Amino acid sequence: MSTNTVPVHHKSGSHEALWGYVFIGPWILGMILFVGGPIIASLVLAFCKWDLLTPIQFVGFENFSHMFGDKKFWISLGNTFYYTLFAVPLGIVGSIMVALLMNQDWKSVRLLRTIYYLPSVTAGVASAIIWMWLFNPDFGLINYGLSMLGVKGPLWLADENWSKPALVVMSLWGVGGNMIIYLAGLQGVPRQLYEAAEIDGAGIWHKFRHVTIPMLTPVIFFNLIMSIVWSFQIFTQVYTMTGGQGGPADSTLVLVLYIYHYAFKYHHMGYACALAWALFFVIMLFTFLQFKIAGGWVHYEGELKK
Amino acid sequence: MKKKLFVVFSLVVLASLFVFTACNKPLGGTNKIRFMYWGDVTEIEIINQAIAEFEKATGVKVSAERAPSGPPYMEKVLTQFAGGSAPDVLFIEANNFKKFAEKGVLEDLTPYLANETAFKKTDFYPEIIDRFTVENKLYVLPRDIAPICVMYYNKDLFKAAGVKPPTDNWTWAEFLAKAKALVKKDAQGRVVQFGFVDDWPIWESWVLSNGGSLVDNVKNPTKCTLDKKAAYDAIQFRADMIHKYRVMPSPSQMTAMGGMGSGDMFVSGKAGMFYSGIWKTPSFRQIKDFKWDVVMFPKGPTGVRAFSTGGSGYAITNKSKNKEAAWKLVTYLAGVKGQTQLAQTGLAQPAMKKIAESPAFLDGQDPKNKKIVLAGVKYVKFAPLVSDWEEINVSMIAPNFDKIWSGKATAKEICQEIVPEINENYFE
Repeated sequence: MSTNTVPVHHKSGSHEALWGYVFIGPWILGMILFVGGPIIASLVLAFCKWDLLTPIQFVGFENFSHMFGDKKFWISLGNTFYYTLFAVPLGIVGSIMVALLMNQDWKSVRLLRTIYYLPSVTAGVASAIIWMWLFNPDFGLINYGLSMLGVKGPLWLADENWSKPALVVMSLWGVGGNMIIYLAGLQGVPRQLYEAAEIDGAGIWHKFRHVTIPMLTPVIFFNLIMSIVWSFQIFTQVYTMTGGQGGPADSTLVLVLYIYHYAFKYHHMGYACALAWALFFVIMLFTFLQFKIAGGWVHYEGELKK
Repeated sequence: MKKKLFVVFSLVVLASLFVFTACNKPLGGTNKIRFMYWGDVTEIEIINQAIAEFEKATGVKVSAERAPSGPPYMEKVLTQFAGGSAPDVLFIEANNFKKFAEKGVLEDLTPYLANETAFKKTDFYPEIIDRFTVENKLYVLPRDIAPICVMYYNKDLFKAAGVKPPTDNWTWAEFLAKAKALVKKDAQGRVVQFGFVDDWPIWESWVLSNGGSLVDNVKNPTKCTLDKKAAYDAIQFRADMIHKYRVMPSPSQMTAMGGMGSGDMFVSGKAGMFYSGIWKTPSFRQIKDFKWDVVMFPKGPTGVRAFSTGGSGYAITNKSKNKEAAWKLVTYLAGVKGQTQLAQTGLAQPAMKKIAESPAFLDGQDPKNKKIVLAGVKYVKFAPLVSDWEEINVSMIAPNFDKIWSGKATAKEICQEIVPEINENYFE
């Protein structure tokens, strides 16, 4: 708080605060009851051995040291990285492009926005099943489209070399959700900036490159952080499309699925919790690094360049 | 002001926490028992009926909870154990009961069975009793045994291809010849009718009937033996059916079937033979388009007859506050009446030998050659009795065998690669 803020009227201030608490109350309650407890419990369990049936034993750092020699852990981490590396940039580029299209003055643009947003509110399992059909090697729409172009499509989910690319392609299904955020960002760009640029003789590309993109960077940054957090936690699509296995030949075994295997298939709760915390630290590290380098490219209106 | 609010807020949280924990009392009490099971529609009916009769006869209330079979069921049961609200009675499967038995959470049923008047231990198939017995304690009262020895075949497709129907005495070689003769291709050389499919990759039976084994000693395994020639040759035989003889769909061809399971392929006439257990009977009885029957799984090249098996039954948790009532319920479910009703559905082979051999099970309905499962009991081989078998299967075997089924590696390479790892991680 800087010292020169306008003093708020005390009564309305506390009144406002009360309403604030009322509004966040349900969330805080839910957090404490259903999330806070489990988070603490999983941290404790990460240092223990527990098979759900016999008493919990403390084993210290054993779970974490086991992780380093666990081949499959590295495979699953690699698969998760692969997915993130491709799905996140593609998703950002895709959703900005869709947002630009949806920002035009067309007659039915509202309807189109709704249509583009729909996949984001579709249940994950349902859309995974639809995509299984799209990826079907013989009858799928994707390979049918490719055959029209004279290309023989791959086996997608049935081939260990194509299963991860298939997941990446499917991730584009979610661009509509981020499109909404970019749309808001686009509509927040002041008109006069464009007018000024036009007077200076800027064309469409220059306006996009030097006005739109810089003004969108805070939104892109927010989205980048969120997308990476989410893509590290990919689970539903993989679980549905591979029958919970992460096949063929572990090619789609992502970290959260691996955690699921240890927790609910092999019943090594302690190790599963340790894996979950490892994932948490990986996500933490990535987010931290991004905040570190954000200053170089994220442009906030009204901030002073040092 | 802010402080006050904070205090009020904390109180609200505390109060609600208290309410939540108060509601969370496990269902116990003396005349209520909880029962967990999985099952399909026909089974649910039998179970509900048995429970209704039981409630009427004893005045004990039963709350029955159903979960989907397989891993979801295990998840739910184990989570309840972990939360201290385990059911009193639970339905359990022969290949994963070890996990419960060795953790000491199940009641030893030996004394209960000894005092039972309605039936006795010798009424059951000794193979299934033996499976559910660990260190002379019987932990599960068997309901059914399910030898995976059933080769369903489409009589009409055999006739159309001019192939003699199989007999119970056939061998691998005869099986392969018939499978080849059933294959049909379209103009582009794509297979449109396969000779053979299995319910899921049941590679174990090929290993066993080739004189191989999965581990050195099923009851007390000290090492995995899939790296022996008899084992990997048999696994290669299944892979060759896909890539060399092309009588069986590859995993990717299965995907191309558009989510059609192999059972559906048999039903729609896209596969001449289908290998599974007797449990497919009720659904295959719906087939209108062709005649079908079953024969025994073929003998191996050296004349060995062996295959894997399923089986299930009911157990009582040793923390149950109401064991007498729980046993009563078990006898209602797995007793003579329960097993007779089960036999009549055609879904499963009762674990009581007499009932399995009675007209209740051999009722003359399809499949006509159902008696093979009675003979089959002698040859069954259960999965290795280690609680980690599911884990070994999911983490080590299945993903690596994927490479065999897709033709990317040979069975010998994969087996020799993974067996030392399995031994190191699980058996040493």
